[in-house]
Amino acid sequence: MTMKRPGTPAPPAARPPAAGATAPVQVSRWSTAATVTTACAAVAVVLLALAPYVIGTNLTQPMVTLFLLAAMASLWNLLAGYAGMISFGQQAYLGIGAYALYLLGRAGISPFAAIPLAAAAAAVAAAGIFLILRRLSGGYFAVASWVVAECLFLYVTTQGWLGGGTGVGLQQLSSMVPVVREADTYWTALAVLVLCAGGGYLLVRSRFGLDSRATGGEPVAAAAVGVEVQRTRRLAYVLAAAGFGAIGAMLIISGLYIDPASVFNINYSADMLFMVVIGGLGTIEGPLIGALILFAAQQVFAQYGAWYLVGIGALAIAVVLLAPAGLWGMVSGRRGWSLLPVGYRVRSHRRSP
Amino acid sequence: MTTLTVAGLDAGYRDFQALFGVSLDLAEGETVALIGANGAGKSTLLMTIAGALRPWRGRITLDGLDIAGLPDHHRARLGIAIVPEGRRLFPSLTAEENILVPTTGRGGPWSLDALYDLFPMVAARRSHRAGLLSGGEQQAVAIARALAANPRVLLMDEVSLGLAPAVVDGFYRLLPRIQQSGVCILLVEQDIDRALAASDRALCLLEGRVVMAGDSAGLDRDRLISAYFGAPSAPRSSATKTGPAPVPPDKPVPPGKPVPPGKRVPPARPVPPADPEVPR
Amino acid sequence: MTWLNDTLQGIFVGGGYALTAVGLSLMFGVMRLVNLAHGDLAVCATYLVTSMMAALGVPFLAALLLMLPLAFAAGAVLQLALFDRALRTGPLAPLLVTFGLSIMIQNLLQQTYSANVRGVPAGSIDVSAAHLGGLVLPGLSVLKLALALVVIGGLSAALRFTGWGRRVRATSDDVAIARLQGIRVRPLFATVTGIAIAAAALAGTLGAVTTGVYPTLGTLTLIFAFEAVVIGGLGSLWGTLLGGILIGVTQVLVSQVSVPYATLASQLLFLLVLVVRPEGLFGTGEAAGQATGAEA
Repeated sequence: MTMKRPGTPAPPAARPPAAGATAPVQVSRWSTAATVTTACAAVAVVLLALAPYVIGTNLTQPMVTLFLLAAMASLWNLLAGYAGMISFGQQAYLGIGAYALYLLGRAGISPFAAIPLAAAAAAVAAAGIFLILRRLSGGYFAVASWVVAECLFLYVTTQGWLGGGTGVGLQQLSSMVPVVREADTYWTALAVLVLCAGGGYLLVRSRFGLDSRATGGEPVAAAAVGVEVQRTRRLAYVLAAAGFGAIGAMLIISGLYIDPASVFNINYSADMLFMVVIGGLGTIEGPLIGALILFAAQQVFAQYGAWYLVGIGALAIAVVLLAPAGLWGMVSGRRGWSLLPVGYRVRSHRRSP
Repeated sequence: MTTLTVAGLDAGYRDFQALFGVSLDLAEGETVALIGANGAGKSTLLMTIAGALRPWRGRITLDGLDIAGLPDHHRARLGIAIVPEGRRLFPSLTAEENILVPTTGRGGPWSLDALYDLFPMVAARRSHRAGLLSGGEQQAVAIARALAANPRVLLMDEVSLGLAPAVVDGFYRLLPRIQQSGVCILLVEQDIDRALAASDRALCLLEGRVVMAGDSAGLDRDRLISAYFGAPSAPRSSATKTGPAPVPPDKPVPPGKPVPPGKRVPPARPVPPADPEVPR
Repeated sequence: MTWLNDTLQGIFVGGGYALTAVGLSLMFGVMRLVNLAHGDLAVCATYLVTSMMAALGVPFLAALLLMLPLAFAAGAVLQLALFDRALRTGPLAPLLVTFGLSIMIQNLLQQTYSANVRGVPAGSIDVSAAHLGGLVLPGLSVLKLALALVVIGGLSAALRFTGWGRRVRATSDDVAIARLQGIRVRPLFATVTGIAIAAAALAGTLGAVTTGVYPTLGTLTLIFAFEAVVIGGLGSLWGTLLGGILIGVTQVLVSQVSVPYATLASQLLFLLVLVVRPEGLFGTGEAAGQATGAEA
């Protein structure tokens, strides 16, 4: 508020470094908090991995849902929060992954081993579909990607070899011992989450991350300073699709059955939007928090039918309009926290003489 | 009788302060020229008076009424009109539609016929899309559009920008007719000679502050030019020769540029938008 | 002669799509706002009509006429309460807010009216039809097409010739400068959204007479309307009419060959237009910029 008039002595930090002195400014991409967070996350993953031995498989089933929600949120955030592409059609890749796994299973490949192949199938499909979407942005991109998912849905319902509208079951897993199957499912879901969230984090910290944030913010300006906007968008889209393919494969593994109306459902996009927006768009931590909130709401309010979705929708609207940075943004923005920094921090690092 | 008073005005964009305690007043029918280099804060001052920017501090009164807190469309209805920098016509509307846009409900001398009489070249092109008009024609439409609101105060921001000198001469020849209608004019002009010739009084802005003011006829030109450039002492003789507008050096401090020692960008402060403003 | 009649029926179907789409096109063109709750608001209005008929005991047309001012008011209130703020918040906010609204409406309707399909008893308009040689002219379809022509024609004329239309176009060109001309943008946008929602409500209710209404119907309504807008080209109301008709004709003609592929065919037509000509068949360069995010 108060402006320092010329003549007021400038504080030391603003003064340029004296010639010959060691640079008093340190640029860092890491922080103590990040070290602690990473360590905590590693411990948490180990503890979660041990959970089936401790709590039994009764509770692992809902945990699988949570893991998959969090993975979806991380990936959707990669698209919307960093690359500026709001898509309401990512359920297309859930479906592709699920049906690819079904087909691979029929070909005799073990479902758990087939997950990477299902992810690859989704990525290949995404590379093709991106040719349709590549020039679009904003509402056009959002609705066009949705229409693509609708097309896949309509196509699958007409195809007898894909089970038509009634869907397909995963025969091989039905014969497994349930406890083993559920534990395997749990560990795989955890692995998918770690890969999606961790991979997303590493991606955002890479050169790609800078490019995609530039692309998402100001595509024209980003192009002007040499960012290959199209390549960045395509890479984000294809990598996210691979992740969604893996999640889709997990949907059929955990449910043993899939039908087109549920796997190609726009509600998946609604969930993703709610988690990311409420947690904090464009942050690494936000989608995970959003997933916890949505999961808790589903567990607590499920008995009230669809009312919880009405409430979550209202909450999402309120967050967008009143606190666009989301819950995590509110906390971190006020305190300057970042548990997992993605940017470059410049810190004054003046040694006493 | 003072029509417009600006007192102790601070204003800017987000965390960049562009105006520092600017004060001025405009009497009924008076024309005041605002002189200064690029980035001195001239356009910011005009936009703040018009209401596109909300002042951080200070008063703006029109006919004794404090308008600093009023939204821009309300100020337009009270009689403030602006010819914005770069004309900013509505490109998809015809010339005539542009002139018919102001909806201030104010009566006065500037009917459509009177405006066509002032600018016959606009009358000839009235049904052409504004986006397809020449620069001079567009400027004429922009002035006509501002006058169509029958304002008390006319803010004119660099009407000569990008136009041939002969075209600009044409506009300045029309200025007395506009002044006769009783409107007072705050004129931003890069060309010092033109500005002094067309105005009753002149103000010089430097880095957001009024550094010089006086009657246009009595202002010392050399001092004015050193004020314009912010030169510390003696005027440079090379810049004092009469003729076309001196080219000002690019010396403002835009946001994001390193701040010279001893001068700091103020801390981020939330600046409420002037009024619900809908970006596109 | 059959294919001629099929084409005619397709034009009628497309007239309905266009009547829904015209509001979307208007809001898109004026405010650059893609209202993803557009179809759901139309479905809301349809439920409101059935409720009013049941509660007040009034016939279909009376309930329809009573509903229209309410739809206008709802649109205006939404604009003032939500959309204005969303437009100011950033480029992604309108999409997020209207999508959130869409999910809210669908689940509210499901909780209030159940997920079942509900018929809309329209009485005699539903069944009347005229025959002209081999051509069938169903009364309701003719009415929808006629209303589409009247609404689009009326709106185009109002935008072109009235002071309101001039202010709308000026604001669409440059909001900041429009405000400096004394235009009060918020009420102006509220009227635009009010008109858009009222038109959608009219189209949705008339459409539901043939298909019935259910809570998630709005999703498909939105998609067809959006496709009509994009195929026709942003900023062209007549283009939207032609876009709607193209979708309708495609659907009806394909359904003669294979019903399951009818919707798929119109979706593929839309994707084809996006790939080949994202600015639409009658769009401008500005529309292309809107589609691709580049500056026009």
